[in-house]
Amino acid sequence: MNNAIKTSLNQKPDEPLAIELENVRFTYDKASDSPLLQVNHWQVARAQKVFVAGKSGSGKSTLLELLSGLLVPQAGAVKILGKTINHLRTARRDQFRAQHIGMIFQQFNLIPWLSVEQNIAAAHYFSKGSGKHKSLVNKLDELLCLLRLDTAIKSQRTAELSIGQQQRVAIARALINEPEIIIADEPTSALDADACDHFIRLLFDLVEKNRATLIFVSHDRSLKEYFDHSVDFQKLNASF
Amino acid sequence: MLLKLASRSLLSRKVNVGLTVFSISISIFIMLAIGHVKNEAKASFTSVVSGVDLIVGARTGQINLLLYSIFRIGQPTNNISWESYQALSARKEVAWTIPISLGDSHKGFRVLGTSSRYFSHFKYGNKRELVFSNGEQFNRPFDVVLGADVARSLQYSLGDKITLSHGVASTSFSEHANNPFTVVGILKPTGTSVDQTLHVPLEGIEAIHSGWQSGVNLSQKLSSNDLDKVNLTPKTITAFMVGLKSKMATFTFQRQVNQFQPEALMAILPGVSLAELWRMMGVIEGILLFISSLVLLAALIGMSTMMLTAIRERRKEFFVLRVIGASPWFIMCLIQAEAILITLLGMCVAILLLWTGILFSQDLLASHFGFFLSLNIFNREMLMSLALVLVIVLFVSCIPAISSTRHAQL
Repeated sequence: MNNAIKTSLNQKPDEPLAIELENVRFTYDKASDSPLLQVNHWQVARAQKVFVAGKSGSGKSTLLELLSGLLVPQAGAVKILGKTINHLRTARRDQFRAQHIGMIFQQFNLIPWLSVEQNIAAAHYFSKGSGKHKSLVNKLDELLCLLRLDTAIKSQRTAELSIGQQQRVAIARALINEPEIIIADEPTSALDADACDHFIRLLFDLVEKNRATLIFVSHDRSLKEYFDHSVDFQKLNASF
Repeated sequence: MLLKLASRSLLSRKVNVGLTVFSISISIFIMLAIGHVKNEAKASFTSVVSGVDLIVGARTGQINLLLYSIFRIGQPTNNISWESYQALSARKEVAWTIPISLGDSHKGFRVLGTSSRYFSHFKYGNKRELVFSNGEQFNRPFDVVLGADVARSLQYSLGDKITLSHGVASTSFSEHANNPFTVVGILKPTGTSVDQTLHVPLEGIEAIHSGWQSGVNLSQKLSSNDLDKVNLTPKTITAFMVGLKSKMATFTFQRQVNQFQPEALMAILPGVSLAELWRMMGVIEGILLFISSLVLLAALIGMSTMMLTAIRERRKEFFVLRVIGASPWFIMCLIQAEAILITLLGMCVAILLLWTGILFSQDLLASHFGFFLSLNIFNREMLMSLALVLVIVLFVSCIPAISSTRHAQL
């Protein structure tokens, strides 16, 4: 509850919350009695940067897939920007994700046989954004510039990039449709300390610029101090 | 976007995809080649005679009559008397008739006794007329016009003297040696049995047989003076072809011939009989098509297996697509599109292979078998079978496509 009060600082009164979970229950194994994930109540206000700390294998990724609509809970409501996405039809849910949620993972964020530009164009395609191709090119150039990437890498296949470059392109990919919510799952685990610091600063700049909500999951608790506030996944998941 | 993604994904797996394309193109090549050769064979088979409304011969089976009168295969059962021929030719429905007299040969090639109307009215293929490459049609009893194959394989030219043999074996003991024939014309190749035939006037046939008794040669050399004295009107002919004034009269005239009282005759419609004969050979065609479709099926299942294996490796890639908003349906379509692209590519390679194959074998086939393969391999049937292949591909690639929706979630 303490968190909920703090998060309301940036929240405009007429705006729906970024994330609201209500009695969400999920399990892969339908026969088992105890769910893998049980979240009684959790909410995140708009434009917040939230750190979720938790060990790997604790179901963090499952939570993120529920938030993004890749998975659907057996019970409860997953409200994103005021919309209960687990009640949407699959195709609508996929489009909702393309339009409103950007995701970054530890690795394999990009399709290796596509160029940087094609990867980002694909993300743009699925959002069915109204922007024309020219605006996409401009937006991409601007993003690459902000991410300190040479625009010459646009035509390179992503498999040829370094991991640091790949992660930054992943930010560009996640932000190209200007989503309200960014979900990052251990995005810095494959980076060394300097690159990690650099990555987080670039990510924060862009998130703040877009007034996006950031959910950042990591096992590395030292990153906690960058964030507005943090949640311990073990406490969030009532099934433990 | 779908096609762009599908083609880029295929390009990223060149070796696997290349081998699959290759195996599919070979099986499609086999299918197309069998279909094409069948069509061409059928076309050249059914084009041996055209523009002839009816063929009349002694009463026998219609296939038999067709075989000996057109393909020069087998033996006639009986002859037609000259009087019957004259009577039927005089009917008002009849525009023209071509008499045919068989029974002699020259070094294995059949000799056809006929009239000069043969060169003006006999047509083959799509109403094509016989054309002379050298010389002209026969005018005197001992003139002979050679088919293209006869002239080429026996290396005859205009003015050569040849003797005919009694009977149809290539080594005959009874030669019509007293009365040699002179080559006056050589026909252009037609790709039909005309190429393997020597054409002589009916009078010539009559002349060399005058003096023969029960198949024994008692004849003497006939001088041109003798020729004038002897009556060279034939007593019998083997068969005759009929052109009617109106196609409407075909069945009426056919009935008249079949009911002709003085002699037991029959009339056949060459087109109908050819189609029936072709159907008898259809069994082999069916077997070949069955084998080629099995080969094709094996190649398509191979493709499906290749894609199914790749699905496991491509799990992460599908997950990325799901993350950026692709629906499971889109990923299924992506796999289907890849399968279709592979197949289309295979088809293009197969068609190119077939074209090169035809280009290289065309001359060989034409010169050795008188069989002309055209480069035009597309017809409705062919396009239908290619479309059918694509439909089968859609079904077969459902297996990896459905499997992808399960793996994309991991």
